[in-house]
Amino acid sequence: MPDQTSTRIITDHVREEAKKWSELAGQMQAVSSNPVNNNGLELNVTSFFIGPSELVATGIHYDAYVGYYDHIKKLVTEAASEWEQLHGALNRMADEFDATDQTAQADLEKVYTAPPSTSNGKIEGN
Amino acid sequence: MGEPTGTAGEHTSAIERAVEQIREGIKAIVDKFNAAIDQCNSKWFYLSPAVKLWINRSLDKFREAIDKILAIVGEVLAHYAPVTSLVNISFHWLDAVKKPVSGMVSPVSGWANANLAYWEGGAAKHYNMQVLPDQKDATDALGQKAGFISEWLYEIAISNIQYVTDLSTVVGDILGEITTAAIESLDLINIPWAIDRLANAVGQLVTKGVNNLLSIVQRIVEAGGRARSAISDRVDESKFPGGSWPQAVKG
Repeated sequence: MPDQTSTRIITDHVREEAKKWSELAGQMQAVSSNPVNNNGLELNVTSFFIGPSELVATGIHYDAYVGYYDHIKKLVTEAASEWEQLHGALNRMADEFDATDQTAQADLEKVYTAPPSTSNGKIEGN
Repeated sequence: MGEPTGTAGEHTSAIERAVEQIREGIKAIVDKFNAAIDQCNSKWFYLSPAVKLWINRSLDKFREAIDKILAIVGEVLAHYAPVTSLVNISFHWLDAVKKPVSGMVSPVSGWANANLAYWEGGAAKHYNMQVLPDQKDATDALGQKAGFISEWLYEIAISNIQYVTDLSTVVGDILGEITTAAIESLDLINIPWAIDRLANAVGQLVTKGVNNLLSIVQRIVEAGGRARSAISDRVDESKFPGGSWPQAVKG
């Protein structure tokens, strides 16, 4: 069995962990694309009651629903973005481990700050 | 109430079935009501003024009861389509949001490689104590939020399905009374009594039916009131600081 505590092996596992976040970001992005952020869960103010409209003020239901749905749209979008950033952060961590030949320390403030060029998910050349 | 059970199709076809029964039932009721009026008219010349008055009063009572149901039926026939989307979307929150997101909780919190357990030191400690738990809790809470809204919509959907199926039962019961009375085949002497009896029976069915429908309406109104707590629930600062997804990575 290889030495699981070796710098190289742990660094590999950190890169594997980075890849995990990229995969999870993809899964969350899939939920975001359909149905959350393509309005696939949209309802109408008339969707809440089948009978005479004067009996139920469905605006209350509708407003509550729209507010709740908007909040979930925001969270799902942020989750996908955060996980893609964690992918980047753990790869920066692994790079720093490679550069310093140890796995206990890194400049965590730097590792856990997305570089400006990728902070909004766009990829730009250097 | 709990999460949606069965399939969305079973629920939406229950609505469509009830709507179809209402449509057919109302048509038969109106036909039979008109046939009863024709039968009265055909004998009108032979009836005494007192009996004519009696029949007119019974017919007014009968018509009043039928009109109450027709008013509800008209609205239901106009509104049922958007309510089927309520059913579909309650299932969609469960299948397309809650299930996939809940399925992410375990991969979020578990290491991709179990041997990451051998990673030690400050960077590992930070990752395991500051990064993973927040992401896990937020993912778990997001799945629960999707489940909550699915259940809330499903509860309202079920009340609506109850409303339309109970309405179809009332319509069917009224049709049963009219069919049994068979006014169109009665002879002169029995008509006034039969119409009086029918008007009373239908009046009672309608009163009872409308009260039942109003109790279902009450449940839907109350679900709207509970939406207020849904709004306060979504401001869950412990899992979502500032109402946002927890940010381990700045920028």
